[in-house]
Amino acid sequence: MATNRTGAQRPNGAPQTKVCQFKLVLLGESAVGKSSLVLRFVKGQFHEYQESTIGAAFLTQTVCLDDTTVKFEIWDTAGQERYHSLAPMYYRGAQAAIVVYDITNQDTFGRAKNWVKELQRQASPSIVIALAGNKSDLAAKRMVEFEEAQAYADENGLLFMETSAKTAMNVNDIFLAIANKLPKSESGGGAGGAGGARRLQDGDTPRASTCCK
Amino acid sequence: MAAANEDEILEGFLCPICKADLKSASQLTSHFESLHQEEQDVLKSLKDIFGKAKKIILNNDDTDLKEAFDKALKFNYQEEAYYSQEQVVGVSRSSMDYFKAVRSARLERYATETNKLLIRLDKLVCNMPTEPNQRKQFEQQIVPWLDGSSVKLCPNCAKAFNITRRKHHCRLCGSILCHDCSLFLDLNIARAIVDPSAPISTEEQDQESLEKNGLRLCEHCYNLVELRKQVQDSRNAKTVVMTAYEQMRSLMEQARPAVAMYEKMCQSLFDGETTYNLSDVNAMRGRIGKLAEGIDLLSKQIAAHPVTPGTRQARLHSAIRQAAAHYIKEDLLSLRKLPTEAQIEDVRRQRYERAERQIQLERRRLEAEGLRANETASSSGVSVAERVHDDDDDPLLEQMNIIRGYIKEARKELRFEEVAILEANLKELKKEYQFQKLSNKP
Repeated sequence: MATNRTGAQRPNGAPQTKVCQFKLVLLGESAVGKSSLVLRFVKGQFHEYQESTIGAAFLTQTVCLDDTTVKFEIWDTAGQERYHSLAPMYYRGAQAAIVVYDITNQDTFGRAKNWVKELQRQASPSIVIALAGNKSDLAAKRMVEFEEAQAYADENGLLFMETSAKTAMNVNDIFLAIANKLPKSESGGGAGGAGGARRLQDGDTPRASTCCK
Repeated sequence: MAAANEDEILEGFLCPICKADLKSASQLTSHFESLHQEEQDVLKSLKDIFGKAKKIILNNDDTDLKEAFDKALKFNYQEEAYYSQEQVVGVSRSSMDYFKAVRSARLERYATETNKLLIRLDKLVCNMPTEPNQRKQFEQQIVPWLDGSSVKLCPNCAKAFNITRRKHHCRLCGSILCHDCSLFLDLNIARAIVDPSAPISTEEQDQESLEKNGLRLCEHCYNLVELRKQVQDSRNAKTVVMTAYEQMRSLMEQARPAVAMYEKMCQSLFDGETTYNLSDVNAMRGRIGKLAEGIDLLSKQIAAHPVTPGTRQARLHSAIRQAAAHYIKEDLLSLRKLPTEAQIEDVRRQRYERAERQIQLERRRLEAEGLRANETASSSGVSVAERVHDDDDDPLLEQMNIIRGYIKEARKELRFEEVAILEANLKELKKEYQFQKLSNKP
């Protein structure tokens, strides 16, 4: 959708930081902390009493890797049963998905497995799936063992981390791990220069001035 | 600083009576003559020895001075013959070399002293234990503290030490001082001095916590360290031109994606798509105009900055201005013209008609296959009646409203990229809704 038109504006062909845009969807049982994870990642905030999501929320966040700027277009879906019909619309064109469960609740882990199964069946075959065991700050009430989840993730080729939106543990890390695993080619995901490289490039103006003298 | 340690060999311009280090030969002489006048008779014999020693110790500065003075006197004798005649401006000679020699010696001394302090500061700051009890011991390990048993007065303010005026030690030179003469160096600032590349935390400390956590220093050490910090700061400080240039670059960085976005939106209008309104694109154009204005202003500021004409700096400034002007002209003001409302109407109608024809064609094809499919309406026609009867019940409709809200918000904040994403999603939702309606019908 975002055609790269920046080339026309920059005839001097100075090297530019690549900008990739990816659609990422969050899935999981209700009240496992999907919105909290996103809120922590995008705004660095945490609300003890996060309201339950209606439908799907939309947020964007940009992260800088070594040579690429990755722009996440995040769709945070509602976990409640009545909104499940919406989920396919959001994971259909997605390049990445985070399936979230609550480490203090075994049922949510079962539900997460179902989501993974559904993604493997229905979503794009190249989708990068990450499994997030959220609420790791409540390790005292743990019901899902780390090893169990890790083994499951390994079996299915998922990225896996235990996270805590409350303490911010592993939140940025899991998004960064996804960004690193995503293919960065131009076709990688409707990538375009529209987002604009934020990094300053040395030797940009001098070059422009020498060719115009 | 001249620690009265028995093991240590004292060196420098020491007074033979009070053993104070006086830094230079001339100071030592004047000190000796002024403070130890009454003892001179007793020490007359010693003075001979001192006189000899003085000749040896005398540093170059003073011999230079003596020679220079002698030379000047000789000149004066020669000039005397002309005094009866009309006087011209007398012979002048430059004292620059002498000044430089004195100055460099002094700077050298400051530099070595500052370096010594910095090395100590580095050791103090880097391995500072967090335990307050250990800290004192650690500090004494790095800098030996002067034994204060014989010190009765504060060397700085000359007030007597007692129960209320306690003895303290400078953490960098180990000398004794009272609390009133102590200065405190914030540990964060100390870290910044030792390692300028480290990020500086800017949180201001109040006097109380500074006295508790900071390093207690004597005035002398504090001034040396502070001077060093000032030099460091001035070296890292950005010039006016640099700041303006950086601002200009950041505006250019903002302009680039804005222009790309504008092109995209413009194209979308010409294609007859309904993703953006004409007002959206106009707002974007306005924003680019504002950016161009800002870049223009900053580059003019840089060009107008006073410099000596003909220097490289002057050339650089004018080159920056030229490049900016060129950039504005080529990239920001050569934007594509917007279509008029009528043109857009026209394109949209054509597009709509094309779609209609397509639908007609499709219908006829279906009819030929014997299927009546009246409901294959165009995607743009979500009928109002449908929306009214079961609004909030359907999560799809609910979501459409949410997305509409997002679009409105994104539009208001000129985030048109998001508008495009959201519009695409809204279309998808509409399609999905349509599809559901169809499949639910018997």
